[in-house]
Amino acid sequence: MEGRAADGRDPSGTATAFCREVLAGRAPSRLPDGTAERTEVLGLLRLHRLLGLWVVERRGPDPGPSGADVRGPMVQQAFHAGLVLEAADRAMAALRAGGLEVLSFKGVGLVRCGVYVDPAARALGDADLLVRGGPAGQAVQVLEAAGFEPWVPWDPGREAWLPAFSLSDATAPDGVEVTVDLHWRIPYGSYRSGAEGDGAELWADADREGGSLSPEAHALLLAEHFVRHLRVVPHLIGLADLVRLLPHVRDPARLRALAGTRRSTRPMRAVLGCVRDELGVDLDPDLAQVLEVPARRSRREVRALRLGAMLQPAGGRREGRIEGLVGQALLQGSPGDFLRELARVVYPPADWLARRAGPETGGALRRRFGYWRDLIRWALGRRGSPLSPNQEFEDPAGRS
Amino acid sequence: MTEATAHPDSLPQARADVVFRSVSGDWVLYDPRTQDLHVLNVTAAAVWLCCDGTLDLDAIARHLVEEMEEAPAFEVVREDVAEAVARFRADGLLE
Repeated sequence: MEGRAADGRDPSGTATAFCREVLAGRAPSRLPDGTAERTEVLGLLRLHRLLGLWVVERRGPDPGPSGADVRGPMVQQAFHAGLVLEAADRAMAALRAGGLEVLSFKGVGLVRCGVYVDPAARALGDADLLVRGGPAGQAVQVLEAAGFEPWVPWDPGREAWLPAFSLSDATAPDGVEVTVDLHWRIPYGSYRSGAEGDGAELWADADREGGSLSPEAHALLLAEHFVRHLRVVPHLIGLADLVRLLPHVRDPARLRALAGTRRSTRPMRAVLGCVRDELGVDLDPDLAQVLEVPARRSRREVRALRLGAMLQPAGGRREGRIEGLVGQALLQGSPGDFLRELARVVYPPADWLARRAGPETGGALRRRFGYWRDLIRWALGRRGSPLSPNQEFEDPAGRS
Repeated sequence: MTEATAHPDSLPQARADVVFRSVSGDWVLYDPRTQDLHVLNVTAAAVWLCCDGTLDLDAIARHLVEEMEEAPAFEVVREDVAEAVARFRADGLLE
């Protein structure tokens, strides 16, 4: 893949600066002139799914990118995003007709609430929907009736040990994967996906008719998700999302309160500090004051959230997932919080393991060893996470 | 592309499984068989929408001339229609 620093080095200064400007909403009008730099920049934009954002937001007298290396992937990304939006709209309509409440968030939510005016700007891998008002199994049934197919068979036990469930849009054209991720909880601030509260705080000030979270809740989720994703691959598009959402945040005190409720104050501050220092984006003074974003980031925040390192593909980062896990730990909270989280991951409760494994698998010890085996394989980069929705088992279609 | 390759006597009919969408100011066709994405100009997009199996090339050209505010001469539009249909056929997008 172009732009990869396979030896774990940062991208060139030119490429890093270009990506910084795109993320910060100051999209350069044209690509660098040099062939090598242009190739590197395009590789990074594609790798981090920022090509559409650059093309849509770029300004200046240049008549615009027309080369096949820009236009082709950009149109492809925008076409896929359009199908994801259509699937999300259909799923939301079906869920409402089924008597459930539903909100969209992250990419689809940001497009639908107008943070991205042109949907082509935001690459959409899937549609994230948050539901409530009935058992998760009911929502799955509604979506199945609306033409969505579960990735794995639904098991009612999942509701207790996982926060989400993925379904493919069976009406999508052949060759295009369109996925809806159905969430009933959003524990992005936690390592392990379990029963961490019902998420009522996210619904409290949501625009239920419009199907959107409040900007404050959305900003918090984006920051939590960004930190969580460090252990997989830095989700840089999430930083771009946050930069564009922050001007919509009107109530910093509400954001502060939400962060406190979800024990995410520290990650929120760290991500805002990253936006300010790594991207050069001015934070609203009220927001910075209410959230108590320090004027200077700590060394561990700089280590965990440095743009050059985050731009590197995960495969090129020497410590890979472990490094991301450490980065997440550095930002997560106090050492006590971290140790508590770690203990929950390494030694989850027996009933959680039983629900995860299903009713037909062997004894408790066997389940626990199986879980540890999966955990080690994840750390070595050999399988999906045993803790994340739809990565918990090896997927026969290879999607995990 | 010549008119002969566009099968002028035929009634071009779009394949039902081909997906037509507007994408950020462009019009695209997605062919699920080949998984190719075809970007269309505005004229080709208008022609595609007329490929319903009931209109021949002349009828499509007449329809476009009627729809355009400042339409060029019929012959010019007819040539564009023939070219677009020939391209659709060459790409396997028609029945």
